[in-house]
Formats: sequence, structure tokens, C-alpha cells
Amino acid sequence: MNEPVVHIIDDDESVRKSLRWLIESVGLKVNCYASANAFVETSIDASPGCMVLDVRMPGMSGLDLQEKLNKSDLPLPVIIVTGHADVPMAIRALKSGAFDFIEKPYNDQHLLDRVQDAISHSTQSLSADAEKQEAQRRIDSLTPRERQVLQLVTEGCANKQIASQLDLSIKTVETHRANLMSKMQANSLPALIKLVMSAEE
Amino acid sequence: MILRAAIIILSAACSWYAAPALAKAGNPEAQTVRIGVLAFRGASKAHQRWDHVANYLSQQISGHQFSIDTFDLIGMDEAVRQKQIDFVLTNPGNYVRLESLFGATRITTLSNLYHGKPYTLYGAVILTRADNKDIRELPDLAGRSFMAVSENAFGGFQMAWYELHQQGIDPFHDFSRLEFNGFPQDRIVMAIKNGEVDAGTVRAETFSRMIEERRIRAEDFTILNPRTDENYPFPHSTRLYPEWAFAKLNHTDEMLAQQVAVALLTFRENTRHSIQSSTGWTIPLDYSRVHETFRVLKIGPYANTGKITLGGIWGQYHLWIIAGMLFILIIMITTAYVIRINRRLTSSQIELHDQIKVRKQAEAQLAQHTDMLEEIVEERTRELKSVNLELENDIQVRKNIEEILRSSDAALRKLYEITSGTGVSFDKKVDSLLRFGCECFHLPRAQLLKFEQGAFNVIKQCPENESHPSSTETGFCFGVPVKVREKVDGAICFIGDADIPPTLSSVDRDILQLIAQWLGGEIERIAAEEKAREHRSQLAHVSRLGTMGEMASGLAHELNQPLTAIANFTRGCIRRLQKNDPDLPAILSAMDYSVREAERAAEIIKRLRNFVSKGELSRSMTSINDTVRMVLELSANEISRYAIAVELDLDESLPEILADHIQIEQVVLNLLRNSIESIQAIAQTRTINIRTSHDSQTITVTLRDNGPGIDEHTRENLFHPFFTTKKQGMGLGLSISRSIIEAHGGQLTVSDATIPGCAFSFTLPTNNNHVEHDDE
Repeated sequence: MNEPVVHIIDDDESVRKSLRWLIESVGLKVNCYASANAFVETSIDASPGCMVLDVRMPGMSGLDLQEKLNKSDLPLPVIIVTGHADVPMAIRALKSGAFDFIEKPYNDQHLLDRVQDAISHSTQSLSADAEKQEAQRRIDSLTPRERQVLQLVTEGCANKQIASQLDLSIKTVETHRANLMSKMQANSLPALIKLVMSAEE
Repeated sequence: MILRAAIIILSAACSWYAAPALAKAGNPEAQTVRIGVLAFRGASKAHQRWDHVANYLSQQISGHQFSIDTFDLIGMDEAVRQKQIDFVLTNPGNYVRLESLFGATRITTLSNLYHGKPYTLYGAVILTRADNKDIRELPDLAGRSFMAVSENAFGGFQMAWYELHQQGIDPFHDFSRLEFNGFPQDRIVMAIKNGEVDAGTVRAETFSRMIEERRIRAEDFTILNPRTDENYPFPHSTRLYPEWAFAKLNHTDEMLAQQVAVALLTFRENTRHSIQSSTGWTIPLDYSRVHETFRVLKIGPYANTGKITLGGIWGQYHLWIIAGMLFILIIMITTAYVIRINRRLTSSQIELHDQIKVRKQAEAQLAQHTDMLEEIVEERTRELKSVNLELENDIQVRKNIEEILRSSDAALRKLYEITSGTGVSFDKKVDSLLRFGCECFHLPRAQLLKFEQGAFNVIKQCPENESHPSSTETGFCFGVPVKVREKVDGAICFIGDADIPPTLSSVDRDILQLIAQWLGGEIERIAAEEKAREHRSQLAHVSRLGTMGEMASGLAHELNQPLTAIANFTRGCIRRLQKNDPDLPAILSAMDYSVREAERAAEIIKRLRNFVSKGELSRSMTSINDTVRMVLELSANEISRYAIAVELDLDESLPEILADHIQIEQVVLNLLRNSIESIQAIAQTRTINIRTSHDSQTITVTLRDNGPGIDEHTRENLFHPFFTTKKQGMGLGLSISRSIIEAHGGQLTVSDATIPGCAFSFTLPTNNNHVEHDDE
């Protein structure tokens, strides 16, 4: 997986620069953007990471950007920073899925902790995604008959029951079962069931 | 199946050959069914052509004996009307006529064979000689001679007529000669070939048949408006129409009609090898095209001729009818006119007699009056002489009055000059007035007294160096009270040295009264202005506090930015320094940034302090451009927050003016804040333009924004106190701004509604002679 990136979006150049300085001090990679539009126009790869937004910016505001991001499938948690913490704004941010809401002036350790939390959250969801996709890919590679057998196997049926349900000989069922185990790259029944469950999540 | 078909054919064929024998034998119980056939080539030809059809039907339908009756067009109508016939076999033109008039219904359509291929449509050909080079299109036929079969022949004329009509040619008017030649049609072709006529029309088959029989050569003829159709094997010039129809009539038995239709539809198979191989029948076709042609040509069922209707008479004779009626009308009018003139002549004669009589009487009276007039003139002359004498006296008196008036006029003029002088302080005007009073009344001294705490105190006197005021002991004194709001506020007093006061004329007294009134009015006005100024400065103060409150949160945000940056830079440095082998140059650079941010914070605080510390109000020489820049600096935070582009168009040659710069700043700030608030509503680029300019008299400052503008209701109430469109706001900003600008002798206006966005302008005079007495 790629190195995590912290995306900083703030219209004030010195705040932007100083945040980069602070966050780079703990060895994280940082990208800066002068406006929400500049961020939207840049193509972001699927690296893990998080975003630090100023809530009040000319053009698209931080909250607008966050709502826009929710509609895309970029798994980037958003930390909103503001000098104008008022209750309605905080509620709106958290409701629309902000990871956290930090008020200026803030404690640097608190900010860095939240950034780290957000990154690990993003990493997890990315790897869960990858796992799910891989399991799905393997299931897709099965033939329709193998998929029927898989369905019955995961329901806990023995080969004999499967054979009678599908009107096949036990020998044929065994062959299908061996094929699907190897296609699913599962060496045991529990491993197989785990794979199927992760695809269904 | 094949076997069955074969049997049917065989048995039908047998019965067909047996038919004549049976028919001759006759069947006494057989019901006679008569088929009316249109025979325009004569009865014998029609029988020759159609008798076998009747025989065939008699054979096929047991119990019925079919016979052919031949008719011409008129005879056919009559026979149908009298129900003499049960079926008709006729051309499409006659068929649609019978359909409309008598409800005939076609049951089959005639089908012909040409080289073994059946066709059920037919058309006509319009021909001219090939060497007749002038005729190439149908319109070329105008003015030529033309030959056709007969006016009623459908294929022999009416088909061609329709095409000519479509091209705008009326065959009955536009041809030099239109001949109807009757049958056989071959003769028409020969007439064209021989040059007897320029053009003609025949059924298309006739023309093709003659070529096949080698009686004519195709290249000798030109077909006008040539067409081809895959369903019709012959070249033709007209639209194609369905072939002859075999139709049942209204009274014909339905069952019988069905049997006939079935028999006819199977006819061709039965006679495949017979001599009549060119004839067969097919399912009835659609004759609507024939209807359409008749409708266009206004013939057949659509003809309106022959009936004598009022409309018809009118159509034919309307010119004569109108002319006759006009003639009668003119005669009636002329008669009436002559009678009227006669009557008038008689009456005017009588009047004339009366008038002569009256005139004679009048002349007699006139002579009488002339005598009386002479007497009256004498009397009037006497009266005038006495009046003239009186008038001379009057003129003398008026001259005296004028003399008095002239002197008082000078005094009043002087009084007006003193009181209306601009740029002269109240004090100086009072001095001048006192001096003027002394001169006017020829007195040495004057005093202005103020009534305070029950006593009159001298507050001014003229001449000023005169030490002691009230010298009533040595001379005399007269004065008038000065009233302010109906109350005695003081008095003006003139003092003389002599014992006896001079007698004052009424004019003098009036002048004295005027001086007192003016003084009273001025004192009242000055007090009112003082009060208004106090009120305004209080309002301005309130407004300023409000503005500061609104701006506080913006300034706090602005201050937060550098503080956040400083904290970030410093913490970053600490973290790096705690590590081994820190990158010292980078840390130094970050510290440098940190210091710069601290300076930025200090700058913000300094600006805030400047704004707050301007408490006292005073007038001084002020640069309006500087004021505008100051206001922009104060609002920089909001301007950038809402991404507003500010265009400055400042006239650098603007003179400094005497003004209260705090108040002017407040006005500009109010206008700018209004613009910023209204402009937030728009999505496109937000622009505010601030422009200063001047001429010899005034400085003009204009703020223009591209916001949504101001609606009519708002515009009317814009400057009223406590009118506001904002959620938060007292509605005092513009009303205070206007009073501030007016106190400086300028005007604050809003642009008219025709310009998009909104623009406020204010003017200030360049030379402030109009300075309120702030220094007093």
C-alpha cells in the first residue's frame, strides 16, 4: 500500500505553510492546496491519508467540499479546522461525516494525534476494500455449477446432500469442490467461509 | 387439395361449355337478373364484350338468369332510379356518380391481362406530333387545338382534363379549339398524326395497341407529361384509376351480390383458355381517387350545373343587377335633392321680405338715437374736465409718497444685504445691523440686550468703545423686544442724546420691527442647528459602536491566522530540535516565518487601535482618497473572505477639503458594508468599484457594486431612519450617512434602477464656506 498523505486545504498561505511544517515534523507526507477547487481539480490516487480543511474559505467552503467528497468514493477522513467554532457549524460538519472538528487555536499534539487516527482509519478501510474486491474477484472466476456447490458448502451441506440436491454423482461434487477450493485459494473450509463472508460485507 | 381444385375447375369448365345450351333451353322458374352495362360504343359492341359474363353467371348461380342491358349515361341513371336493373358494369367515372347518387356499391373491379400479366388500373395518354417542337409540356397546350372522345368520357377526356387543370389549363377556355370526336378512339390518334389537331387524349391501351398493330409508329408522337407505373404496362400521361367496376345497387339482394362477387372472382381461372382471356375480376379497388378528380373538376356528383338557384343567377347577372339598382338609386337621390332645394328657395324668399321690413324700422330708430348721442357727448366733456383736475392733485400726492418710498427702499435693501450675506458670521451681521440702525434713525448709539433671569443685560453695543450703556438720564431711548418662539428673549434698543425722541415714520417702525424679527429667527435657527448637530454626533457614535461590534468577529479571525501560524511554526521547530541531527537552516527559516507572522499580528492590532481611538469629532483638512483607503484596510478581512474584487479609481488630483474625517470615514464604511452584504447573494465574480472625481465646485465619491440592486419599495424608503432590509441592523446607517453628508454641504444619492447592481454617490463642496459653526 502507498505511503499515507495529509492533504491540507487553507486559503491563508502562512497557515498552510506552518501546518505543513508541523505535520512534516512527525514524518508524514503533506500536500497543500490553496482552495477547495484546487484540491478538486487535482487527481488524487487511492493512497490512505486524511484531509485538514479550513472551514471558511473563499469559493467552495470547507463544509461544501466535505459534502462533495462524501458523494465520491475517496476514503479520506476529513478534519475540519476553524477559528469560528459555533455549534450549528460543528453539528453540520459531524453530521455530514467529518472525522473531527478542531477549533483554532489548537494544541499541536491533539491535532497530530487526530491526524494519525484519521490515517489509520483510512488505511483500514482501504485494505478492507481491497480484501473484499479480491474475494469477489475469486468468486466471479467460478463456473455457475461451482457457485451452486459453493453456496451449498457454505450452508453446511455434506457432499452427499449436495449431490442429491443438485442431482449429481458424489464423485462429480467432489471434483467441483476441489476445483472451487483451488480457485478460491482456500486450503480449509473455515478459510473459504471467511473469504465468502468478506465478499458479502 | 390440388385434386379438389382440379375438380372444381373441371366441373366449372364443363358447366361453362354447357351454359349456352342451358340458356337457350331456358328455365321457366329462373329469376331474371339484369346487368346494366355502360355502352358508349353501341349496344352491339357491348353485348359482344359482356354477354359471356352474363352467361357465366347464369351458369354459376342456379335459379337466376342473368342478362345484359345496355345504356348510355343518361339512360343508366334512369334505369337505376327506376330499379330496372340489379347490377351495373360501368366505368369508374359513372360508378362513383351512381355511388353518390343511388348508393351503388362495387363488388369487383375489372382486371385485364397484358402478355399474361394482370392489371387493374388504367390511365390516359396525352399526345402530340413528335415534330411539333413547340409543345413539350402540358402548359404549352394553351392556345392549341385539342381532340378528345366526349365531355363525359372518363378515360377519353376527364382523366386528361384533371391533369390539364392541375397545370392551370381550362380545356373549355384555353384551347383554340376543343373537339369531341366520339368513338372509336383510334380516329383521334389518326387526326393527331395527320395534323388535323395539335394534341389529343385517348386511353393509354388504345395508343399502345395501335403501335402493336403497326398502324402508327411510336416515334411519330410525343407523350406529354409521360409517366410509367409498374402496375400498368403502358406509357401514360395521367394518374392511374381503377378499372371498370361491377357494382350492386341498393335494392339488390345481398346474398345474390355475394354469390355474384364470388363467381366473378373465380372467373379468370375458368376462362383461362377461352377467347376472352383478356378479362378477369379482382377484389373491389378504392375509387376515392376518382372522387377526388371529380371534386377538383366540379363534375359528376360534384357538378352544380343545371340547377337554377338565386346564387347562380347572382353569379351570372350580378353586374347587371348592381348597375340597375345603382341607376334607380341615383334617380331617387336627384329627385329628393331638387325637391329640397325648391322648398329652401321658398322659405328664404319669405325671410328676405321680413328682413327688409325690419331694416326700415331700424333706420328710423337710428336717426332718433343720433340726436340723443350729441347731447350725451356734451355732458361727458364737462365731467372729464373736472376729473382731470382731481387727477393732477393725485399725481402730486403720489410723487410725495414715491419720495418716501425711495428712501425706505434704500434702507430695506441695505437691511437685506446685511442679513442675507453668506459666509458672514452671525456676530458680524449683528454688528452691521446695529450700525445700520444708528445711521437710519440718525442716532449715535445702539444696544442688543438679552433677557436673562428677569433682567435685560447688554450683550452687544454700537459703537463698541462707548463705555456706559443706559444713559436715559441724559437722553432718550426706544427699543423693540426680540422674540424667540413667541417669548421675549431680548431687545434691541437705540439711544439718543437729545431730550425729545425723533418722530419715527411708519416705514421706520417697520424696519425696526424687521430687524427684531430677523434677530429672533436667527437665534432660534442657531439653537436648532446646535441641537441637530449634537443629535447627529450621538447617532454617529452609536452607529460606530455597532459597526465595531460587527467587525470584531472578523478581526478576531484575522488575528487567529497569524497566531495559529506562529504556534505551528514554533511547535514544528521544537519537535525537530528534540530529534537527533536537526536540520538547522530549515528551522532558522521557520523561525523567521514565525517572527514575520508575529509582526503581521501586531499590524492588525495597531490598525484596530487606530480605529477605536478616533473618538473626538473635529473638522480638519482631509484627503478623501486617504479616507477611502483607510476604510478598505479596515474591511480587508471581509473583502477577502467573500472573494470580492475591489476596483479603485481614485482621482489623485483631488483637493483636500475641510471635513470631519471620522464622520466621512463612517459614511464610506457604511456604504461599503452595505455593498459587501448585498453582493454576497450573487454567485458570479463579485466586484465593487470605488471612484473619486472632482470639478471646481465639488468632489464626488461613487461606490458601485454588481450585486442584485435595490427594489422599488426599498429605494423609496432607503434613507428613512429605522428602515432596514438586514436581519441585524438598526436601519440607521444610510439615514445617518445622509445627514452627515448634508451637514457638510453635500448630497448622498442612489443610482436609478436602470443601472444593474447598485451605486451610491456623495458629493462634498471643495471650498467649504458652508462650515457649520462648530468652533463657536
